[in-house]
Amino acid sequence: MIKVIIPLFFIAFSLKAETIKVHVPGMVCQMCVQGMQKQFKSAVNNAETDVQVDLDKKIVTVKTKAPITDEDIKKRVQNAGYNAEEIVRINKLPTIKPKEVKSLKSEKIQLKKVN
Amino acid sequence: MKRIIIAIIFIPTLLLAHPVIYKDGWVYWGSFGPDMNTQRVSYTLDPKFSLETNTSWYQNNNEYRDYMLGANYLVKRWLNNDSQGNIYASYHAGYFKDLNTDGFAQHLMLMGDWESRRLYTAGSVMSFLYDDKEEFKYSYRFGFAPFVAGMNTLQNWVILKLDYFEAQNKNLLVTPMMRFFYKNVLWEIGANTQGDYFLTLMTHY
Repeated sequence: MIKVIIPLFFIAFSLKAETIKVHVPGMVCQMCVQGMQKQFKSAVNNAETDVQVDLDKKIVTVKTKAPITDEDIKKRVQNAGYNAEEIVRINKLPTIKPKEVKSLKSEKIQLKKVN
Repeated sequence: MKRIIIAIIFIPTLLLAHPVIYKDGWVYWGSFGPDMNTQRVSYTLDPKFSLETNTSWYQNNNEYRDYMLGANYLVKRWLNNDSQGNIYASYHAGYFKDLNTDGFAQHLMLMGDWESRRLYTAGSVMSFLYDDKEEFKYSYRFGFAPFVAGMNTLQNWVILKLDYFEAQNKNLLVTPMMRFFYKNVLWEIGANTQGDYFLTLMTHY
């Protein structure tokens, strides 16, 4: 019984996690990276691996351990000294606005080009 | 008066780094040369405000020492997609002493910077109040990155710093330096036109 319950528990827990992409203009240096990792530390399992900052595209990617609200994301980004311009939830499609879907598609196209 | 002026020359090096970082961020900053040692610890309470303590020592300056407490405020930040600009104001006050005298000293500073991933520039004006006197110092930095590094990659900057201090025979002090930034650690190494060299270490948590 335990052998069934424990995996189910982890599956249920992992389903709650989500990947969030946040567009944050103005990030230019390593200090921005450290700031973002520090502010999202309590929302992820491992800040170094679960909070990635793309300084070229100005996108912070967060793999959360539990759902967090847009307001919470904006507050954390503000505490890092920046503003969250756009929030895209990768595995929560109903919350994505048409504009966000468009930017997400363009990002995927760019990724394909790189690959 | 001369001993205080010599000490002041080094201070803007300390202040021309971001004095306010992210909420709950700690910064240790130290600059070391053969005859000088200046260090600071700051804590950012919120993204606009930080408290700091700093101390300086100059061996060739009659064993000058000071111990300061201060506050830094982010007046304005501009966030463009590929760059940012900032204006900071700072006030530090404390105690100085050397082999002959001691007293109360205050520093006031207004600083502006702008940086992208390729270019960096910063300027500041500082006012030094001590023994009922007031002196001004002007500093300017310009730097460029030979290459653009990504997250968790060593970033290198080449920087030129200019210092102008009215009380020091109106001399312009020129300091070329190199800056290296990796994760949460920053190093700077350079030497000015008077032959004074230094190594700076900054780390933040």
